[in-house]
Amino acid sequence: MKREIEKGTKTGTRERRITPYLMLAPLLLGLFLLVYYPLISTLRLSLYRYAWNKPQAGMKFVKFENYKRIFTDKREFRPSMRNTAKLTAISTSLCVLIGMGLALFVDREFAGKTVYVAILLLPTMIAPVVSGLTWKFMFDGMFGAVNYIVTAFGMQPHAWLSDKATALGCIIVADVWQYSPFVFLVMLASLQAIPVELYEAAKIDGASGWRLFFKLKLPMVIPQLLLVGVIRLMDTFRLFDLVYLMTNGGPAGSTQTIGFLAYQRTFRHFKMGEGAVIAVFILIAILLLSFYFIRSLLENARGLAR
Amino acid sequence: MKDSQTIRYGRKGFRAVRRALFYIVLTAIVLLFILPFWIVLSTSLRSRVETFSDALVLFFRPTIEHYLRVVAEENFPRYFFNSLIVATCTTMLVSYLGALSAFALTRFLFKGYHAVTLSIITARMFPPIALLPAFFLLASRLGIVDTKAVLIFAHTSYGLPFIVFMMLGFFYAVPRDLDEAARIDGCSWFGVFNRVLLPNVAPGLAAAAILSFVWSWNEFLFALVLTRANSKTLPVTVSEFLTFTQVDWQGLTSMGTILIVPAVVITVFAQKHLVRGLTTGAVKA
Repeated sequence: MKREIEKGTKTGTRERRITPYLMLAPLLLGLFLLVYYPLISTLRLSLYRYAWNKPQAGMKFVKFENYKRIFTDKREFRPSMRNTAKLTAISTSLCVLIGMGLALFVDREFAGKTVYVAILLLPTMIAPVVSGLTWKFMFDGMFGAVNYIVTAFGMQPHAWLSDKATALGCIIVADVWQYSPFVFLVMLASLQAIPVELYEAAKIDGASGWRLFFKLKLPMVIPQLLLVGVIRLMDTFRLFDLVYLMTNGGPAGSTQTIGFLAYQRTFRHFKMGEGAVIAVFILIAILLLSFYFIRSLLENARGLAR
Repeated sequence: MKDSQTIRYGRKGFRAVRRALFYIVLTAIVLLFILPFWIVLSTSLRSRVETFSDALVLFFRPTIEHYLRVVAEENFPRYFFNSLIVATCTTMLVSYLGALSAFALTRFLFKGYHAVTLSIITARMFPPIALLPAFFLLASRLGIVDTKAVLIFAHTSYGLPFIVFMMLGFFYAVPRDLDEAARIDGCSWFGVFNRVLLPNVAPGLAAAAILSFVWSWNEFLFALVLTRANSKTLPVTVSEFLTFTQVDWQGLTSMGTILIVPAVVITVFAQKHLVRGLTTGAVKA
């Protein structure tokens, strides 16, 4: 159908051939100059030793030395991998559980729904800098509201962010607070997209409560749930800003994530090659994770084109 | 039929209780989610916070002294305008170029169509940290680090793939008869796009503009690496105050509140567009 229209028009065939490239030129130029070229350049950089604060020392080709150094680094890289794994696993599952639970709870008609949904969305819309600030303040040993609540329950106040045992937990709380509303929003939209007829059919079968959830709702929204889970996974895996803002990787490296380590090596320790290795590692991990996402986006695009 | 109806009406009182319970639980959850906002806002409005118990006291005489103090800092207005300029330029570029690209992708079959689609979708996945080392080197060689332009370019090219993909659906929804008709009337393809398509995808354009503005306004990592004293944006400024050892909480909560105003306004007034934009890719329109 689409092809017929394309071929059916005889006037201006040359214009028709050139126009799409002209229209896509800014996007493609931007993509290649500012996304793909830096990407390849980062790959190349990972094979060199280069300190950008001393450009006169030049770039030295060192083959895979940076890789060897990073992957055998027990002092920083491995602990940061452990932290990242912990953070990603806990934060993603909490986001998905809370977001999905909330969506199921709100998925009905009631007065004031838009207002409630709008308020719930707020944490997702604010700058990560503000959520970092907010939670650093909440967990502050002196002024923090968390200590106020804790002492109200008869417990001792605690310096949450400067204790190795609790610092990563604080970051998880901030992350879950900011992004479970995103999961909630996506899941609410997909729950509401379930056709009414299916509910009616389920009602005739006498399904309600948990049975309705497992037999109808969950199977209908599982693709979206997986997708949004993958999005959260990719985002927490590379988490940088909350760490930078709330703990700066400390205390004693207990909140060091690989996203933060990549930044630190590259821009604070000036070891561009080593930073690039970590960046490449994050990139590959995320691309592997995103395979499912890319596929479903492509399918979505094809579905639209039909 | 009649029986089931009597049962339903007989349960009216029970349903009212359930409804009330629902509202109570929902309100409690919502309050829990916005409690941190309340604490930030109320801290910024108090004259002085002595200890942590102060932050939760409900009634106090609000003061804007901390806002005045923060805004009066010599560079604050400048960083505020940096943020505003970067976010506005990014929004205009991303919306127009995003729409133009989506138009090209939905109206033409051309050589390399699939390669282009795939490269756009994949670009949306790349973590900024993987691009930044090289991006920074390139920018410093060109001597454009710490300019608003470099940040606008970075935000635009990184934000575009997402927006293009979001807009595809809106463009497919416009019947092709419309552009064919305009073509017969002698419009060029750019004319078709500007005069026929753009007005027809206004809701999509609005969603794109809103999302790109909020994204660029909030963005931290690119701004942190690519800007310095000259073209710093607000998030970077706030982060600098936050990483001091002696944190000035009341100044910071005031700045944080200023920083979230656009997001709050947009969430309240453009919720519909926002929802559509945020769920693209995950939920079919």
